[in-house]
Amino acid sequence: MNIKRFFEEAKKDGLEECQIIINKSSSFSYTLYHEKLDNYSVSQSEKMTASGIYHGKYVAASTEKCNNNGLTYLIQTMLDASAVVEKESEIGLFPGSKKYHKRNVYSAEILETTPTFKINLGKRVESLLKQEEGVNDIAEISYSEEDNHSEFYNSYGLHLKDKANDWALVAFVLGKDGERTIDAGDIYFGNSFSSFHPEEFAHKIGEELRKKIGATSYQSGKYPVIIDREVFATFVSSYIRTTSAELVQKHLSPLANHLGEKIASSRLTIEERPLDKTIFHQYFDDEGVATQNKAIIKNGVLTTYLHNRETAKKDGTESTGNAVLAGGKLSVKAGYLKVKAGHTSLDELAKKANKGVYITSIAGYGTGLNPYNGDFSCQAQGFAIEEGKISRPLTLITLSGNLLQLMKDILMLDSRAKLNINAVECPDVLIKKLSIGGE
Amino acid sequence: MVSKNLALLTLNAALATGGDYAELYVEDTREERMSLDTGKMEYSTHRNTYGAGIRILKGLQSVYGYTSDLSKNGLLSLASSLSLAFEGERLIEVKEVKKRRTPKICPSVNPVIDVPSEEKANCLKAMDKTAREDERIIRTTCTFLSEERKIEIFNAESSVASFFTNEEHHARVIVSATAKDDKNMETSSENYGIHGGWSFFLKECDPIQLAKKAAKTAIALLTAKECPSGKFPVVIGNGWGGVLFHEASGHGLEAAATAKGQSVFSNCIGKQIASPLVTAYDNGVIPNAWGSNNLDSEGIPTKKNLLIKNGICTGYLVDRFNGRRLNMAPNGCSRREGYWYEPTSRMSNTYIAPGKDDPEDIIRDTKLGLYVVNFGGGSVDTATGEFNFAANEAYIIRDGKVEELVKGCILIGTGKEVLMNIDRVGNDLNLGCGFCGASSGSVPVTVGQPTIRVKEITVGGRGGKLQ
Repeated sequence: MNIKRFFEEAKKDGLEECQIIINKSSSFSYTLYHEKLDNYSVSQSEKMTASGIYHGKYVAASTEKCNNNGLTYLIQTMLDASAVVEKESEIGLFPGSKKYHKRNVYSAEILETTPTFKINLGKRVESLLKQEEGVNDIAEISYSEEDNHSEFYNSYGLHLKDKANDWALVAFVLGKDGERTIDAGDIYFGNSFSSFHPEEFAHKIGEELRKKIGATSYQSGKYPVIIDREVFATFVSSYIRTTSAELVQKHLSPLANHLGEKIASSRLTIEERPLDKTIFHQYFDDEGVATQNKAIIKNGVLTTYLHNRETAKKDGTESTGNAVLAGGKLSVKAGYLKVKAGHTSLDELAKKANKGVYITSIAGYGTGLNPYNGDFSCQAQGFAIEEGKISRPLTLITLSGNLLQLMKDILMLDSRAKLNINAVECPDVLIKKLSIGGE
Repeated sequence: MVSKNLALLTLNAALATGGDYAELYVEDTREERMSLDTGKMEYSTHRNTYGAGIRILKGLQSVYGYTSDLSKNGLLSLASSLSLAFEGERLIEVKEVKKRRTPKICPSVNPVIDVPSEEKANCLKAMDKTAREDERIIRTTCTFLSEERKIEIFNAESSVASFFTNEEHHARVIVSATAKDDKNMETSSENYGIHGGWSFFLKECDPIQLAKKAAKTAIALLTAKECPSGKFPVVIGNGWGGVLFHEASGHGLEAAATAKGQSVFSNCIGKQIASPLVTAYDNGVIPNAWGSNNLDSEGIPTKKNLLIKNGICTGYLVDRFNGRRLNMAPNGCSRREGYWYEPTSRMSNTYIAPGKDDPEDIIRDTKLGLYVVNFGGGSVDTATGEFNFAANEAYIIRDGKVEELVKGCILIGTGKEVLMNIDRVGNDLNLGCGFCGASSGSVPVTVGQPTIRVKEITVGGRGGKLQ
């Protein structure tokens, strides 16, 4: 495959500027069932995504035929698309940032560790889970690892490379609460095996299962609510999506016209930190712009919208390095987010709530959220808070509220911050009031 | 894409260590996606998906791998590396590859992917214009998806391998309208999809009606009250209402969930799992329906599978691998989004069969409750049976009459409980199109039902007590 020829052919066919991103991925995964390999999977794949400017219009295409025929397909389909695209590109492609802050987060350990070790790791977890009281069956033990290499080229001669890898282990167990089946599980992810402690991982899942025994519904009403850090990460992700300058400029974000204003509790600070040394490290975006660490919400004040180069030009500012090219469209996306933790404990949060609900898992939030005004309703599980203490388990309740109001109503954050697999690190939070639906 | 000879070599490489079944799934998909944003065609893009998946089964173990390199070297090295997962002597030597017939459930005259982009763009422009007739509509997005999937499946469980070819042609339009007034901003979406050609699409789809409906609902939602919460009777409208059955029961009846005895519907065949009023099917052979197909992802012709008859569980959705554990034959429901997914049992067109009640009578006989007309989607935990789904359009029923529109509703429950609590089934079966996401990716499905009533469901919302 000749990338140089791609740029020459593209130019000859009238693509004034163009770029190409080549992704090479490999993966390995397995699942266990009753300590035997149930499924074992490996893969190797490549993908090329090209974009360019033709007669002033931005066009894009992708293919998995990573050869010279694939390059021809990319050029031809970009030209075809220009026949119907009406939106003019106001910015063209990007010559390059002055400086890039690349960190090596690639783990040689994953490559060097044998499949046998990785399979035995899952077997060890399964064996530990079976010893946990209350566990009737193992619903899932699955291991997966991914290795991604990407290269970015554009017609300005910009050439950037990045690589990353990680592994994850998922475990779910089943138990009985009378006639009712209950389940519990967790996911561990990272790029080092030495920091994984199977005993601790399995015991935590066992504990979670046992705590669910005797769960009931709850009296409908409005209560102080503690949101567990795993659940709060979901709220943070969707909240930060509304800081997309693209949505703001299309009048689709409830945070439009609020830049520089206090929009949340002064206890809330959310930073985007793509340059930190985590498995989510990313030093350039899909336009080739260098990424940067920055506060998006600082002490409750909205300090920036997230920009690609097009939205930045409209607002007369610089790109924040948040461009993403997906489905043929250049858009805006946040990377690794970090919520500033507090200094107190979960018990203190419960004490402050006195009577309320501690939500530990939600389902259906994606479909139950109105992204334009932040109203949401979803299924939830958790615990009652009685006399300032986390007490009996709850199931089949609903949690409803407004995302913007929820962020304003944060009363306390504890110090139990955790990074979750969706690239959000955050602690547990106590919210003044949310609607609980149940009995 | 792959010659019979190369397929034979690949299957033999895969079976070298004692596998008792090997499969090569090859895909070359062209997709065009265009989207109009409030009067202007914002983007149009093409995507070519190209690669192969190889699967080897040995008893109750499965090995899967995929590659985008379809060269001889690419396929043979993948097959050989996968075979190393097993240790044993060869059981099967493939000597011949025989072409098998593919049924024509979804004929596609004049494939949509080959229709000039300008014609599809004109369809979107007409939808956009209609949706924006009312000035309260501040934004529309109208999207057209067209896709051609060329599939080759080679599989062997004896010395004669089978070879199937399939062509899938999908077309789908989606319109989303956003309405705004002084206080609120609300959005509503409508969509329609087919597995067929351009002339069938033009005959069956009314894009203007979709645009009108999306705009009308978005505007109505501006003044809607918040949904009340608590437990009360819920009447669920026909068509998209079938997402209730899809989430509450359909996933739990997939062999992927039942085979290991970990679904609430495991070991339920012959047992009553629903009200006697409920009969339900998964029907992959509705001609040209969005969720239909000529073959499943294992080369087995799709079928009309009876899942529940008069409340009694009569069958599961069975794929080849999970069927081994259940000791049941596969019934044409193994599906995958693309070659990078191992196939498993999935729904196609799943619906509750029509009953005898007039839908108006069902409403009239409900004193106080909720009438849910449209849904955003949902999810289920098949182990516990707990499901949720969000209602986009719902009305309060008082004294047998449909009254004010409410928003922000979520319905939750357990599949078994809700199925047993269905006390009325209407005679107005209808279907709705969507995508279902699960372990083998996102696949086109239709859901469906007549108007039904559930005696009691837990409803979540911010509107306080139902009065």
